[in-house]
Amino acid sequence: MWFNSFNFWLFLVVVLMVYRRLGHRLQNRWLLLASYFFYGCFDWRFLGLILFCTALNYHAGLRIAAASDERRRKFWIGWSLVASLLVLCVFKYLGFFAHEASRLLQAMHLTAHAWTLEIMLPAGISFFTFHALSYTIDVYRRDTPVCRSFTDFALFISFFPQLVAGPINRSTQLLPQVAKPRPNLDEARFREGLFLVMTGLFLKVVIADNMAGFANFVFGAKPGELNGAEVLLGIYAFAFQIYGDFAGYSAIAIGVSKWMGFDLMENFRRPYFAANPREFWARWHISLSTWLRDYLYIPLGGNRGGEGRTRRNLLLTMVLGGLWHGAAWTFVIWGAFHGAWLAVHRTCLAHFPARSGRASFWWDGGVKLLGIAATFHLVCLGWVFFRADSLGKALELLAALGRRWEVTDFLLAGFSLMGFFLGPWMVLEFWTEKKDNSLALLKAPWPVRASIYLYILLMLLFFAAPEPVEFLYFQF
Amino acid sequence: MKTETKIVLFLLVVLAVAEGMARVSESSLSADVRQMLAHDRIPGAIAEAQAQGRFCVLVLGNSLARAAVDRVTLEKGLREKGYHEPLVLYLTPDASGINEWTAAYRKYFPPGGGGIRPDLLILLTGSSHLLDHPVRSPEKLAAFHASARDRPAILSSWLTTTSERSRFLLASVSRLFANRERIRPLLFYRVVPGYESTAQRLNRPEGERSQGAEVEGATVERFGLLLASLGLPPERVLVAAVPLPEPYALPEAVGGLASARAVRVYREAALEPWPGEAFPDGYHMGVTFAGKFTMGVIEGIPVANADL
Repeated sequence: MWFNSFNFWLFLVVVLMVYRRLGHRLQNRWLLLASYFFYGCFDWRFLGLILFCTALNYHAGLRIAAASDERRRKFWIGWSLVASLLVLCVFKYLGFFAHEASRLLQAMHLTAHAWTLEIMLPAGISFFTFHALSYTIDVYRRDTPVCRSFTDFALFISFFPQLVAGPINRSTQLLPQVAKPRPNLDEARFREGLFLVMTGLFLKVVIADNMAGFANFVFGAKPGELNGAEVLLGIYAFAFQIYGDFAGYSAIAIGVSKWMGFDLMENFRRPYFAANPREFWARWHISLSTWLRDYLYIPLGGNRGGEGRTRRNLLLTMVLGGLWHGAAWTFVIWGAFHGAWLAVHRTCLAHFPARSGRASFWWDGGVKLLGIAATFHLVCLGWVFFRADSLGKALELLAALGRRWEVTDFLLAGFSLMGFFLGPWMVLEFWTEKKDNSLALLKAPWPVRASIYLYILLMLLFFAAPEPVEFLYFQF
Repeated sequence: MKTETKIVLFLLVVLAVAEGMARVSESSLSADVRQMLAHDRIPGAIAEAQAQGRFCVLVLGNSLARAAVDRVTLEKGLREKGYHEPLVLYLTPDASGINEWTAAYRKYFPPGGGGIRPDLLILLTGSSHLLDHPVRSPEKLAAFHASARDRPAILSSWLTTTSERSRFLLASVSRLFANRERIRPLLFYRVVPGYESTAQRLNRPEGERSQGAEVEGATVERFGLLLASLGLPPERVLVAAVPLPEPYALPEAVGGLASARAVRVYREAALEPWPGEAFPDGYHMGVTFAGKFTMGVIEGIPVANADL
């Protein structure tokens, strides 16, 4: 039941109609029921798994809170971490590691064939596992009080707008909203939700799905079929496909939650306006990057302990972040690339600190523009590994970038369509960036908002991609 | 009035205006729409011609049929077989198959009762058009082909997902929604350089995959419904396989059902290889070869006052 399907909107109408008529406790039960129904629509067989993870971490949270000494607290947090990550590993990584191990054994002539273990990946397992872990870790750190209501906790784990593709909300942020009565749907919430839902649908249905055609074609092309410029077009197309896809999903999730009185964390903040990798990660998949920072990078030592350890921690965090996306070497390379880039950027900052003194508009503007362009292209370089089916394919595409740069019909049409679909959106993002407020449009006079919504509505109606595409992050 | 209410009202008003414009000017959107709207005149034309004692032939199919059946050759051939002033009419919407043909025939010639019927129906198919397949465009089916009587059945059994049903229902009430996919090609083919070749390049693999998937293990329930809805004796129906660049045999299920209902099938032309120049655009028959194919079709029609 995708956000870009009629099913979802019919489902949401029913959920909201009933939700508004209920009191707080019944609202939670109703939302939990709706969330399990939503999840069951993807594959009802995995409802047992989500219930198991919920019960496991609910119980662990209670035991951590009840533990009288540090040793028992450590045991229960360890139990929660090991058991949750074990479930994640079995479903997500066992097949990959078994295959890689068997290839190693094959190379040593210890086995004749590589093993293939194809385990079905439950929808959103990485997301709800991280949700659950954020809770037990927060209880362990005493950052959040233990949740004694199973319904509330189950709803925190499975709240349907964010269940299968995030944002990954922290227990400190979401659990209090589950536990207490939420604000009613007033004009401000409706306005904000409408803006997020409209822009989210536009990002997904108009931008991401239209870019998917070019990206899929280029990343699936045979060697030698494309010239360098066409490969570049495909990489750009994927950069905007994944952005539109994931930022669109997040915006819809946040918008829909607004209508139910929840405030989820912002997940994307105009990432392609970032002028360096650090800024990029402060704008891209914010809920994951901050999760990794708080639950992995800082416990590893963060930037305490010298430059060498900081660089190691950055690299390790990003490699694991890459692996979080999927069990493949391409994701590991993608993570390592970002880790190395962050480390290099940190070193550069240490040696070439930012210019102080009187600012020159043209100089600073030029440097900023150069930074944005360089960051975007390096991010695109990372996307090649992220999207390619194999390392070989990624290297083949990068090699093709240097081949025969000539203008073709495919190139002309591709860049024209990119301009058509992306141009107005990037102008809006530029304006929002200047205002430094993601919701700046809500302060514009209503005729301006109405005109933009009309544009979005007409684009959704007339220029949705011919074939709807599944949300990319669903598979993570 | 609250500002968000104003915005929602504004959007609704603009949509209502756009809906009105779509209803008034939808025929200018494409030749396909003009043709489908023109189908509404078929029953009237048949009634009028039959009142004058003319012999009415309905060609049912898609653009393959339209290109392959030469009207002049067919009318001449029928005259030579003794049919009085034959009139050939085409019910051949673009990119259609058995779903659209069944729905459209039932819309213009409602089953049951003794309503208007053509004197002869020639049903033309490619390799897999008579096999059951998912509805490709619920919007088109709702807006142009389905009768009000058939809508509940289409909703409950032809369409399988909520999304398809929602699109069908929306297209039933809104011409703007029904025709929404026509704006994109209308604009891009004119404005975007290299769009046509790029679209073909991007869509080619998908097309090849879906073609193969349709034939495997398919059923012919919808074809059975069409045959049962014709309201014509079997000798007044001819199923003909249209030649394609690659020779093919009609699926066994199609031939089996046709013979079970005693309907004649002309399949020979599709079995033989045709020269490349027979298909100027690589798919549809050109005029010269259409004449030759039509002669073959005529051979499958008995002389007047013999079997008919």
